[in-house]
Amino acid sequence: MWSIVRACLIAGLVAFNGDTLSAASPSAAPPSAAPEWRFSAVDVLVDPLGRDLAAYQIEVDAESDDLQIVGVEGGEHASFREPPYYDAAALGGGRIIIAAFSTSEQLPDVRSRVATLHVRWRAEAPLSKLHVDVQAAATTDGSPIKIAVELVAAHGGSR
Amino acid sequence: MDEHLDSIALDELRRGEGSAAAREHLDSCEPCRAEADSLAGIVQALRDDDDQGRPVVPPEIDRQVLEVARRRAASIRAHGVIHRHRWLRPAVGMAIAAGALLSMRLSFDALPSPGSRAEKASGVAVTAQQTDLDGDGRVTILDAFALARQPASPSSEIEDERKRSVARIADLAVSVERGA
Repeated sequence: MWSIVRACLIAGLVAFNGDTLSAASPSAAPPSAAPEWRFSAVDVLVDPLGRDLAAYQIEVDAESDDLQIVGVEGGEHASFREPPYYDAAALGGGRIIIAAFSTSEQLPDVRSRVATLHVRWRAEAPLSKLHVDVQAAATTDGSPIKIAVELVAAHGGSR
Repeated sequence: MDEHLDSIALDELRRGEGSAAAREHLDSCEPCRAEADSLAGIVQALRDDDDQGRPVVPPEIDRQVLEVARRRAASIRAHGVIHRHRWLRPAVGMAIAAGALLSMRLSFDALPSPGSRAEKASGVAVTAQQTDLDGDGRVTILDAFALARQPASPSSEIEDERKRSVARIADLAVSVERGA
């Protein structure tokens, strides 16, 4: 029960500070205790390299037991503001596939945030553990395009 | 443009879209023009409704779909993978161009519901064939996108079915059990 309360308090601090990776104070834990679980947000940025981004499918894999993906939200561009498709069974694990498409005529053709992942982690900051694999991407007519994907700590957090 | 146009490009040209290069290729390529004419005929045939407003799938299309399914299943059994063949184009074109109309005949109802592990486990072989609309051997969000891009049907029933099919394909694409 206490762990849930503590998690909520940490999440509140995250929202209040806007600095996800420094939200939880390491000094709160006894020096000899196991690393505390912390919460953070990771933005998924996609650069379609000048093409209109109409669809993408990306796998994110932590390859670590010290990181769990616990939530997914949509991006900043109107065409990708809704949360992407993902498997709810992936939540709580370290691997997830997110995918979205838009039939809108207004599509991003520059680097933009298409989703945000909420992660629970310990020991190391999350970005050092996450690996990205582009599984598919397409432009307006459905033809495949190359994209560049980058994960960054949300709200200016550090690696 | 040296390569023949695929079904998606042909359908775009049919709708007055597509690139100038694709149009130029179509004008100079007899096989592609034949496929374009065939596609246009299929689309026109599928626009005819029965007396209850339901789409009528011509027997010839039913026959072709079954034939394609048989040959594709045989190919998968023989090679263990899904190959993209030129002879598949008419069928893929039908599935894409006719969109939700054909989805009803292709029994998208047989697709597993999101979250149903037992159904996913038993239905992968079937759904891989039914949902790989772009014929790349994988089920990805691009297959859902291909279906979603098709012109809307005037029938709300068909549109609802299409939306459900799009969502099911997308759910399959992101399944962490199955992968892409």
